[in-house]
Amino acid sequence: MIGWNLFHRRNSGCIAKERLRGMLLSDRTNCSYDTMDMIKKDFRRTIEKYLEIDAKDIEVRLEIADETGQGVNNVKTIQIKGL
Amino acid sequence: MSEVIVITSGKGGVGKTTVTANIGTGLAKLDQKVVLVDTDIGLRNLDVVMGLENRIVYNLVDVIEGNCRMKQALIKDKRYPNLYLLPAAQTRDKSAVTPEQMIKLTDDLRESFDYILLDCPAGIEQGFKNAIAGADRAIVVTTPEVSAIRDADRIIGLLEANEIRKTDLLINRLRVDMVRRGDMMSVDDVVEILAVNLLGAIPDDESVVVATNQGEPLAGNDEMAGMAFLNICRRVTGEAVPLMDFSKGKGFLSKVSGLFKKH
Repeated sequence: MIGWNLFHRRNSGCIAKERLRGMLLSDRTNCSYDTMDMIKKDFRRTIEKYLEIDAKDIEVRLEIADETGQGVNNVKTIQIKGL
Repeated sequence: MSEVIVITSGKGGVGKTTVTANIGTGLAKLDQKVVLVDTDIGLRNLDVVMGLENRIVYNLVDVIEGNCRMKQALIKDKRYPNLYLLPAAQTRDKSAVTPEQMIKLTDDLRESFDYILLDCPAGIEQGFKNAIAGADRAIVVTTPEVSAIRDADRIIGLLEANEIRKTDLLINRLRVDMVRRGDMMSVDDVVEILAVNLLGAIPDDESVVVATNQGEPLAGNDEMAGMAFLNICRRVTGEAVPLMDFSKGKGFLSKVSGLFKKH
């Protein structure tokens, strides 16, 4: 949450955009913020179980994919930070 | 081929009625035969924005219930020969009509008009369901604000679920000065979040308030909002019109990405 304190009034437009992304994700998937947090937490724990990395060093982002497709070219590579 | 277009938003107060009145007026200026239908039964306002409030005899519910013929209820705008208004009832509510009745109504209107514009009430209940029933396509109106965009997203989802074949976005009350300061989301931001085709944007303009006070829609006049509306009408008919630059004054970094995209 390092960035939060650095947001000041000038970037309220950016804040709005980020908040909207979260809201729409929650609305469209019918998934509460708490549930999304738990998903992220479980994801971090699972990675931590199998890889040499701290849970706190893993950033998990949930995003809405605008396009879906099949095949190798459409699989999103998960970037694991710090590895 | 007639087109039935519903103008909707979810959120109230973002400008659906103003947009309906001005797109209708602009299309009439482009020589199209247009009828505006106010489906906000119980809270009618399209007549007010059009300046036709003192000419109402019959309304939408009267036509549906068979109390009068369509021709008796349609108000001809004396300013434009091809522009008509079918007002809503004021003393009834949304339960007075059903989606099936709306489909029959819009089908009847298709015989006489090129464009049938339905001003949809706010919300997602009966009023919304009635308004979208007979529609071929939808224009979703939003402002660049968090609540409006959230509601617009929900509406877009509902339109898709109801198999409306074409949905376009209209961003209203854009404040270019605030966008530049970072205090308002830009047109690109909103389009990116909602992921739907952009029909156009209307700048926040005092002349819109004046126009409503006077009952004189401003589409096609010399003001920024008026010109923006006419461009939107051209796009509705299928013409490709580049997005306007809304910033005032020259020498600005006004040609930021997105403002001059060829549609």
